Amino acid sequence: MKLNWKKCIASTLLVFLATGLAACTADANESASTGAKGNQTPVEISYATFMVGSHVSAEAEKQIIDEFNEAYEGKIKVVIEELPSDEAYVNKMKALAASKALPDVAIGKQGIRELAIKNGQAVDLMPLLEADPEWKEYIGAGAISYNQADDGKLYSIANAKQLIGYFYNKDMFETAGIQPAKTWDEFMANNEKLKAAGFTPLAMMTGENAWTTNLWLAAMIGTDGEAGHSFMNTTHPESYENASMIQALSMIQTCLQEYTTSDAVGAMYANAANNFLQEKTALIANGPWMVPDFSDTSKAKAGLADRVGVALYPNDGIVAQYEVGYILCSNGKSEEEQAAALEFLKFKTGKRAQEIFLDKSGALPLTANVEISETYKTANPLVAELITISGDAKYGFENIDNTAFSSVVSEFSLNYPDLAYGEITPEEMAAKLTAAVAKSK
Amino acid sequence: MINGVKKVATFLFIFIIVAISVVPFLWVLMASFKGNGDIMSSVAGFPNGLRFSNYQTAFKLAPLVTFYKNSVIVSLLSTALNLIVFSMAAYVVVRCRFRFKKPIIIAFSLALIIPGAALLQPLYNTLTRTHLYDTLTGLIIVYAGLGMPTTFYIMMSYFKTIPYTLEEAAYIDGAGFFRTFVQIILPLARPAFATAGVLQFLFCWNEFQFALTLTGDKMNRTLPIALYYFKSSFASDYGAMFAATVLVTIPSIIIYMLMQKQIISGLVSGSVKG
Amino acid sequence: MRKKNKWISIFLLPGVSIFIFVFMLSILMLVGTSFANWTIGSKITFAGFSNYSTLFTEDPAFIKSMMNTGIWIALQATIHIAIGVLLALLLAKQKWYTSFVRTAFFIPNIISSAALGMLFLSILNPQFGLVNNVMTKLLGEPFVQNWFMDPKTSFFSVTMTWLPYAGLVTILVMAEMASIPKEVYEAASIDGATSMQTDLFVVLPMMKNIIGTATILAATSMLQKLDIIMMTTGGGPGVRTMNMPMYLYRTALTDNNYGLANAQGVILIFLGLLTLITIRKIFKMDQED
Repeated sequence: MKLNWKKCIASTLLVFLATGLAACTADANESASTGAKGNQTPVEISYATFMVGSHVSAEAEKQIIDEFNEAYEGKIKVVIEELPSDEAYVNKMKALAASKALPDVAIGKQGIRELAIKNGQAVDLMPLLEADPEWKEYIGAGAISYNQADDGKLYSIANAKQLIGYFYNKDMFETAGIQPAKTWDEFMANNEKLKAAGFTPLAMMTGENAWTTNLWLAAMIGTDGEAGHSFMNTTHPESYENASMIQALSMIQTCLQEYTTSDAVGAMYANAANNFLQEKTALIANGPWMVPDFSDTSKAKAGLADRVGVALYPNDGIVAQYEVGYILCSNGKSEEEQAAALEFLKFKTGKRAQEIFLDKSGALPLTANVEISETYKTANPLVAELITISGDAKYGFENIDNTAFSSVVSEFSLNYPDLAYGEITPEEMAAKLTAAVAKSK
Repeated sequence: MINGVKKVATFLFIFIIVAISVVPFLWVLMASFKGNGDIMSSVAGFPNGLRFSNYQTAFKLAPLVTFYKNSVIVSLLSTALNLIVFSMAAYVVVRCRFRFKKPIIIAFSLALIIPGAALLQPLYNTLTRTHLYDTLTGLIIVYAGLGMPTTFYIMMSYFKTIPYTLEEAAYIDGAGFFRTFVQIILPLARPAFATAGVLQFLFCWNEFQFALTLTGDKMNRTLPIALYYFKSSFASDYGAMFAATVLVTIPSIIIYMLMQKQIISGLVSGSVKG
Repeated sequence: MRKKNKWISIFLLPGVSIFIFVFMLSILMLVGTSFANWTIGSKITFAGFSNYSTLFTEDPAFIKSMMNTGIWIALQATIHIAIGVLLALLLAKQKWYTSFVRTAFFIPNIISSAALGMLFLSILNPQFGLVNNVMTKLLGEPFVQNWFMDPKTSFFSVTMTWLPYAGLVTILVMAEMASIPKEVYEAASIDGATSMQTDLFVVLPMMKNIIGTATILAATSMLQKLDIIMMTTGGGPGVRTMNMPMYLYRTALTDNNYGLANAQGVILIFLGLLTLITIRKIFKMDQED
């Protein structure tokens, strides 16, 4: 009995090991040899994406890649690396950047673009754009100048425009007898009225990248006269110690202490979104990709979609920005691969992709050349409304995620709890943010 | 009286331990049948009934089947490799005198304390150079190495408890070094193998960071990565994530239950007496 | 004897090769680049001890993370081990509940850390968490404590999240207890020892080695574990719950500063060696080598 047990285990393990290793090496050989079959082999290009799984744009992403592979069948094949969750994506890209092994096309956000420039893989896209007028037209001057460096070089191309205001619960506003605020004083007074009417005003969160909290912060700064407005349109500011910032931080401090849910400090995006969707709060600062959630009964209270309004920030402000977008890292690769990667980048940022993204995930196209149809507007009244009111905005500005180094963004989420509990003052927090800038130098 | 107090204290201690341990799993299990809204706002009960759709979503959103297959292959082979290689090393270190003994113990101990974050980049380079990047083989070898210190220490500690007289007797009977190891030591060390094996298996089964960095193709990915398919910045599906967690966890619990008999089975009567 | 030497080499060779393959390059790179200026994508330039002096003189957050790590190592090596060993002794008595408890206690070690992190967040959520709900019922008034984020309770809360890992100690000790022959217990009871005395004076001394090993594994795990912190507090509020692996990870992957991160890695290894040597001395583990 005893002997048997031992023999069994040992022999099965050995068999396992032998077959397993053989199988693995066979796999490797197989994949290596398929590339050499036939003379009509498509050029393989690599692409990495985090738009998979439960991501809002997963469906759009899949459709674009399928359409591209169909259109270029036999000529180009996109090999995709799926990196679920933003964090997984950024970490892997950093590992690849350090070894100069970034994929041909990637998304350059959160400092990936800068690393690609630094390690020499990034390609300047300006001459390529000049060579293709049709493509350039669909990208548009706004997106180009946004991503263009001071020396005229362009290392990334957005594929969508972002407009972000805030959503509010019309019923709660009616009960409290208020309108969307026109000034920040009115905004604070509204919060007080909502609280008096028995509602929690704001859906905030300070975990992850403090998204919903930092949108309010950006709006407070970005609408605070010329100084604040230009600060919120500055990429990677050197210092966070200015009057607009400190005033905004103390307003946020009050909001965190008085006007939000008890779980806001340290919460994730999902908590804040859920608090608004379950009608536990009256306002949430967020972009149009949230709109489908309002009518999704597995996430929101039934009928919520009819009770939600969208508004500009007080002082007529709106977050209006382009994303960092896509980078081309084919420097030093074979000519066929460079050409193929460029084709894919053009497709990924061009007219068709913008249409798909608008249709499937509420991302607004870069220019008016891609039309937003009446059918779309009727089907998505909140998005249409947002586009309409954006025309009345006096202040357009970026959000913190776009302008700050990732070390600064994480410094926000580390220090908001201390700010909320009164352990540090707004001035001290601003100083800490400035110190975090140095870390990314 | 004293006995009564002791009984109550013992029972209380065990009860608290069990509560702390089981509540998490039960909570995950319940959450896997709830919608996002319910998970994020209410804790008890199923106000909206049982939702089995989370399990469907889990299979739809993430390539679970492929990942499952890979996880099984990687975990089993890596555990086997790790146990064979490091039980041999531990045995020699405990039983023999040789020149490089101290350095080897120190080196193997270093592996215990080297920070994982510092290993990612060099390992990526090593695997790319040896053409093992994005292969299961690469992952198997890396995991066997990463689990090395734990296995090595458990084995060393256990081999020390085995009286040397048994091996001596075998040598006198004319058995060689290898045969003594296989026939005398291995059967005695079954609890240690089971313990180290379970720990190594669980490590491979749940490891995320290295799996992500050292593989690229969807066909070569393992289960822990699947959990992140449900967690993105602007739309997280926690119900599906917990459903996937249940699917990931159940096999481990079963394996542990099967192995724990080995862990505490003790010395098989007769083997000590030779 | 020469034949035996051959066997020694054969037995060590695979282990040493795997060690070299997985760790050697990393250790050399780690130590080498800790003396360099190296950020992702840039050239590596020699910097002498500047990374180290930065850490010790200009980086209060690093000092704090070192202190936290020290506290957690100490707690792991004492309270954790005590709980694990106590449970092992209790379960060795083979009662009706033994196998159930043994399995139950190990479950937290089985669940993936992503799920475990989510779970702690949910159970301790200030608004709807289980803990606050129970407290509200007990006190009869709304109890809203933000366990992870209130600067007063954050360190304690993170410390509590390590607790379930004590199950590891229990199974390690139980495996070794299995090797104690029944005769030992019989002899002790013939000599008139109570079961508590037997545990204290007979069993525990025989367990010296494995308890030492378990202490090493538990204590050094605090130099590796960061996923639960990452999921719950991220090291905040401020740097109250920052530990060394978490800070190193941030330095490497948020600040892109590999040189500085690797200097932290070297310091971490030194701390680890210190911990190892201390524990080995306390348990006299080198004696029969």
